[in-house]
Amino acid sequence: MAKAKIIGTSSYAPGAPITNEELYKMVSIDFDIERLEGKIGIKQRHMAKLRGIEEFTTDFATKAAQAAIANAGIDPMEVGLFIVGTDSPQHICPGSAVMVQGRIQGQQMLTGCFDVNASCSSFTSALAIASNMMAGDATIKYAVVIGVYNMPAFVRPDDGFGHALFADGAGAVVLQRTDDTDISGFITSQLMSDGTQWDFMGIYCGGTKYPITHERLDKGEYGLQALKPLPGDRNVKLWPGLVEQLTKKVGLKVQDVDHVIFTQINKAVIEQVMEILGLPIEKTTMIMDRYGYTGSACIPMALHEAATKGKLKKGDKVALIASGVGFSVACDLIAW
Amino acid sequence: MAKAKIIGTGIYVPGEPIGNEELFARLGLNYDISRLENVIGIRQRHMAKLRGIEEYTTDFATHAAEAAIADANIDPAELGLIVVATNTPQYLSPGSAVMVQGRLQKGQQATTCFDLATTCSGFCTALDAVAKMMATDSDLRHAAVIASYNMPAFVRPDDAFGHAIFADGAAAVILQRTDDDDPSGYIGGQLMSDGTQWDFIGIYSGGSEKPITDERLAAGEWGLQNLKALPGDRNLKLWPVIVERLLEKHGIAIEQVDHLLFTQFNRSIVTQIMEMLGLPLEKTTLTMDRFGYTGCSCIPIALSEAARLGKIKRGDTLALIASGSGLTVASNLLVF
Repeated sequence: MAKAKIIGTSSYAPGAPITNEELYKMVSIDFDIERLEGKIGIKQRHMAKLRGIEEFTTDFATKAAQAAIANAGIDPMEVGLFIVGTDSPQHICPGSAVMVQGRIQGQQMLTGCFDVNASCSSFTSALAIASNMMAGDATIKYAVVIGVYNMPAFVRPDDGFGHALFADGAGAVVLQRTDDTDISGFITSQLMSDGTQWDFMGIYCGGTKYPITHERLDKGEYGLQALKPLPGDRNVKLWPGLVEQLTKKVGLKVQDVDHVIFTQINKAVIEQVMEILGLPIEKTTMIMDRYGYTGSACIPMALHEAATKGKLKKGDKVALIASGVGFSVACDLIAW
Repeated sequence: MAKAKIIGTGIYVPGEPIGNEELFARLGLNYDISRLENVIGIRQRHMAKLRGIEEYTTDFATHAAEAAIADANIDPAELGLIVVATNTPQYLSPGSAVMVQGRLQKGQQATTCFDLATTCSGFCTALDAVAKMMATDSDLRHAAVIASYNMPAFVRPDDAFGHAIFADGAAAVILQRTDDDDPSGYIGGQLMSDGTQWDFIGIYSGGSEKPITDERLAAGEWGLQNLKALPGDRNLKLWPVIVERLLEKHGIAIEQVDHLLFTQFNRSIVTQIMEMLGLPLEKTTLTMDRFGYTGCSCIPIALSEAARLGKIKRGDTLALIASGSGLTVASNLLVF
């Protein structure tokens, strides 16, 4: 039996970073900088729109894919599958993956392309999908899985919380099909859903149900909307059990995990979860201080940082834990 | 090694059908009805909005899934994977799959949910991905692959072509993990892409690049847009090649295929393709006469109809061929 292993990573964020002080001046909206820097852990972020950079979802995804392909040192024409995980699409249709294929391969190819939307767990879902597809299909030698987030484009001008938190970014991995005897490779995934919780936060207008009209624009019913406050302790309650389930599924213990990367929404929550798990803080990587919250992109961006900073060595067990609105959770366990 | 087999199918279309005369009389638009009926092959369709039915992408998907679950005679709680293929989302985020999960399973469960977007080849791409995921992951016993098309919601009021062609509809299949010695099951797929052709037809506004503004609404730059005319012979050139590639990849001769289903865009193209392949017209099923063009849903609608009408039976070898804007093509080979 074959499996997929990661042979390249990348991270992309548009333009020069914007600090909290600069952001505060640029958008003249009130938000609690002390809490943002202390508890949430965000000191700066990248935002194409505020920097006047004409780049969007597919542009971020393309740059991340190109960088990951270069990092892996493979021929882009050998990629047989492009998956883009996002919930902030550039167009509603067609998706980003096929456009990335067009820009990178430049012609008709026997390449599979699709976008996956599972809100902020899109990347970890896509990684599981790609890995399982590659295990079962000998014709896919390489796949590129991209997580991309362009949520600032959907944040309304008067939304202080939205501007403080959400940032642009993309991260990608290149997967290679390999033998089961390889020390490196995808091990398993654990996903979970609760669609009764769909009405907390999302982009509810602009799809089939609530088309954007002059009236909706006037009333501010567009873009990212928070319909109900998210329970603050949800991830603290959820994540420790998920790491346990994920490892237990393949006969491992939490202590066997060498590195865990979580959705980068809140630094204090990640610190608490690591403590509950009994794992030292060095076994996680956090990037929200420099990149803000980059949704479906934050896991591959953090993975790239962990890989390039030498925090991961060959064979290390790495757990990727992502949760997002919907409510959707997707966790992957890989051997680096 | 295990594989996935289809154990149930179901379709859903909203309200009473709308004939061509009624459609154009109600809209006050002109269209060549003779060509629509005799070349394209569309006599009627279902459209929620025109019938005043308050149902959208996720509602169609839920109803189709319920029908397929009833046909498969399983408990919805047994579904470990729910995928909705669509390029006409109800909300941009969260997606439809997690909402369908909430409605069917009523709470938190270890179910994988994601939306898959790759235009009109979404269902065949999702079927390929899910069948491979099930073959690899022994935790996945049952999966629902749903396609839902709600394009009429994006058709602008003055677009006669859009109203003539695009229709609402959803369909679902239930897959079960089974042993390799089961005569029924998924054989394999072939995907193909050319993302340099992204700028023919799509929903280009309303994403991160071109937010819907008062100016765009006034300029009519919203909804489904035709940027360039699609080459009329594209599928004639594409489909024989993809059929050949699909069969060759899996070592199956065209004579061994009992039934082929194509994207239901144009009846005369499908009949010409069958002639080029040297196959009798009985070996395909056409549904555009009754359902119009239902995009990513048309293949599972045709599959469900073929099963209901006794045109396909257990043990038959089926080929499913879908293409959509982007350009993306997806094909599947399976034993029913």
